[in-house]
Amino acid sequence: MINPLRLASFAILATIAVAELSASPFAQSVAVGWNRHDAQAIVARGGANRSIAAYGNGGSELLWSASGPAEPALVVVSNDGSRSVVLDTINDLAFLIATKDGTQRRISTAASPVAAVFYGNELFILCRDGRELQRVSADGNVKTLAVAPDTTFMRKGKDAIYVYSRLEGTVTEVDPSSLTAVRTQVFASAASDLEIDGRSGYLTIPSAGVVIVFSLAELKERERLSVGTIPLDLSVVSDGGVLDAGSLAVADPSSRRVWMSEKSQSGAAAFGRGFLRGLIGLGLYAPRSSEYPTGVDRVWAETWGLAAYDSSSGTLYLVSKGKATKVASDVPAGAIALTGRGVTWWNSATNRLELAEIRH
Amino acid sequence: MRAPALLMLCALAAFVAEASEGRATSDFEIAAMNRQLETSRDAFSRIAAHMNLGDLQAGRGNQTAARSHYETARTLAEEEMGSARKSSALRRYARAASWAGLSAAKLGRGGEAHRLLEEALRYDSDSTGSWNVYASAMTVLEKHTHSVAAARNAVTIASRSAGDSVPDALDLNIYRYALASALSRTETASAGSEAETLLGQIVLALSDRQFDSLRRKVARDEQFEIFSSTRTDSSAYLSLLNRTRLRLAKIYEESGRAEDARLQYRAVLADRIDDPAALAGMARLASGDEQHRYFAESFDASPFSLALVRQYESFLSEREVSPSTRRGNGATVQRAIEEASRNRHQNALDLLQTLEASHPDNSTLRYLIIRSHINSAEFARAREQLERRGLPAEIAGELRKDLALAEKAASRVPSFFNVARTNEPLRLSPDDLSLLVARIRTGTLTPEQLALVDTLHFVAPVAFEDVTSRDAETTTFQAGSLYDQRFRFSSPATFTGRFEAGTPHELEFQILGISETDGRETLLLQPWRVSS
Repeated sequence: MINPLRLASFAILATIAVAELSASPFAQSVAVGWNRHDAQAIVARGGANRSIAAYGNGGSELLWSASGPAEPALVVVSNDGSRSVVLDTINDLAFLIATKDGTQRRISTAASPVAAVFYGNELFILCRDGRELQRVSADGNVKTLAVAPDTTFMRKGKDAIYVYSRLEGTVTEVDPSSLTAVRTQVFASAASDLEIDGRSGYLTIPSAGVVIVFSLAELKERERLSVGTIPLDLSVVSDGGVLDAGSLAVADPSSRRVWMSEKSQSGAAAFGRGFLRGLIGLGLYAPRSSEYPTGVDRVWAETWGLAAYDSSSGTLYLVSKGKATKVASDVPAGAIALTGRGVTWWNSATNRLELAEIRH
Repeated sequence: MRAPALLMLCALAAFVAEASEGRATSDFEIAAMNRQLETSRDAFSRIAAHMNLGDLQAGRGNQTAARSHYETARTLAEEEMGSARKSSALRRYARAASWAGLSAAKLGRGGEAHRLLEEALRYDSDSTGSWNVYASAMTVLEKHTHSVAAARNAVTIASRSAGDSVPDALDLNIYRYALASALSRTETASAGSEAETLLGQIVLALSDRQFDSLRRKVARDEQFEIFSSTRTDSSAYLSLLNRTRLRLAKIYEESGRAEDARLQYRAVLADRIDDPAALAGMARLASGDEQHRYFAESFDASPFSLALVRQYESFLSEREVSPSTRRGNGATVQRAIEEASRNRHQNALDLLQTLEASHPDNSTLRYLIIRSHINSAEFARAREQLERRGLPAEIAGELRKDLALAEKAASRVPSFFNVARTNEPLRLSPDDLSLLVARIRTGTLTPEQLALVDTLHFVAPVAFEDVTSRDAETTTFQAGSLYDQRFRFSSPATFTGRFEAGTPHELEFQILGISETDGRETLLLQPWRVSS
């Protein structure tokens, strides 16, 4: 029985009791994806209750349930909502699901499928330890492209797929139709996140305390933004317009803040606005740089606001108007998905899907 | 980045995967780790001590104690993760997550281990230590492709940044070892070849003058303890050299290069005369009395090593040995295996249960006891033992399979019990013989079946042993083999005609029972006639 938590306003959200789970977030084997097209949640649970299930009606109604992988790590839903894929990274498996009825196809992948994207009718699976990008066609045909060691991140662009190797520090642009590497550029190794928007790519380099901004059109570095002490995760907040560059949200667990940063700026402007590491802790745009008691290391931006998350404690926050409010704890990272108006997550203590939404 | 001592501590986690091969002259190591726990306040030293103790206890078959240490390490690592995050020490957080992941892997919690190890890499993907621990954990979980990839990343990063210092050189070779170890488990020819090359490079590198000071320190301090995780360069050097030589020797042994393997085993024994893995290796490669001697020394060094038990069982399946007369745990286990190999399961049980009284949680003893129950057709007792907690999952699984097969076999009776009797002798098939012997051995024939066996005449192909005597018209034999079963007559039997030992003949006979000759189970037959 699903009992979604619907919140009439952010003020009410702040008063709700937080579900306290007993298990460490790392001990829970669950992954959640959100089908925006049909407002459905896809929940993959491992362990003894291994299953994949779809919840409709905003997450309140069980639509179907099917068998699933032992250790689901990631759920990815196609843009049109018709297909989902559940990755079991440690067991080298992908479960391709027809979202309407749960019909599934099990795919044995190369070692460590860590990321997936749907591109047209095809599914691309990045297998880090197998050093392969696999393209699975609608007819089940699989083609592969060799990638660099420790290629961990994959993002879908308008006409290309971008993959990043932490070991080599390279971003490779892949043509999805021919499955060929079009070009590769060295940026910096050991990034903790890669994100892209329409024009730029962003790499967070925690050891250097910078975000590298690069042009997708030229695949060249545009600039390095010094953000916080250890920028670990990044999300594009807005694309920007003619007068502003748009903004980024950067999770910095060391400073226990989410930094709001302009996407691109000249060095002089950066200095003037305090983007240097020497100003760590003062915060940028102080009212909008949220502080968290345990620090956060993941951030997701949406039109309604931000969700921030601390992996060490499994604590989930919603952020609106610069203020963070804790909504759950002991939630594993993979069990969280953004909806159109908030976040949803699987509560392993109650075996329920929870939902928190912001209505301004 | 990282304090050197902790780097070593992280790096040598690569050795954990092999701890179960049986390090059991491990009293010294256990004492050293207990001292480390008593004196150290540093979280990582304590975590490493518990991981080492877990490995040492696992190598001795003490699964309950091993799990307890791994659980403690897991708890300490998780506490350290929280503490590091509170103080914004994020590399420390990543290192603690790595150790939490490795301990979860040791506890068989693969998904949890994977999530923790990935968390460490998210924070610190350019850390050789994180990749090395990742590789070790994947080896523990038998995810060998993952392990190779992770170990390769560690080697690549270390090669890029390695300086000329002793710690740097030591680290690089530690990561090479982890890679070789992972490669040698992937069972492809190219991986095996690469592993051998890497191990050879390590042995060569460790003999360089660069390490003279470490060698002097090892000699001066009379160090000999081998650990999975180490804190000092000298200890790391010693453990790395030991494990590299053992692994290299194993590769040589498996590829038939016995002399090369012996050289490596001897080199290990030169540093530590009671290294159980090297002694077992020498035993496998030796012959005759020397082989038995090495096994004896190996059991003395490592009484409860399951790997050694299996090797000795394999050894006994091909040859006879005189009963062990030494004292001590190792000798008792050895004698129990010898008794079991002669199908004297009750004798084996008596010996094992005596030992179990003083080692109640030992999984190797429980394994052998359950096997004895199964082979004695005491299925209920076997099941009762199996239901007790504490046996490693893979061992419990193997025993459950054995039990199911034995129960299935026990439910079958020889086919001749179900056929109408005629005056013609019955042709005895190998399957029927095996079923009959098992039922006689376990005393599970009904009185009616026993009475029937007493009356039946069988015919089957036999090969006689040496001719006892011979004249122009007769040949006398006393023993031989019927299929795989040895038999003898109650007294020498003289057959009319000239027959040769070792060639097949058709023998008509009755089965009188099972006895023991020279310590071996032997069928007692009454012969009636023989033909070529």
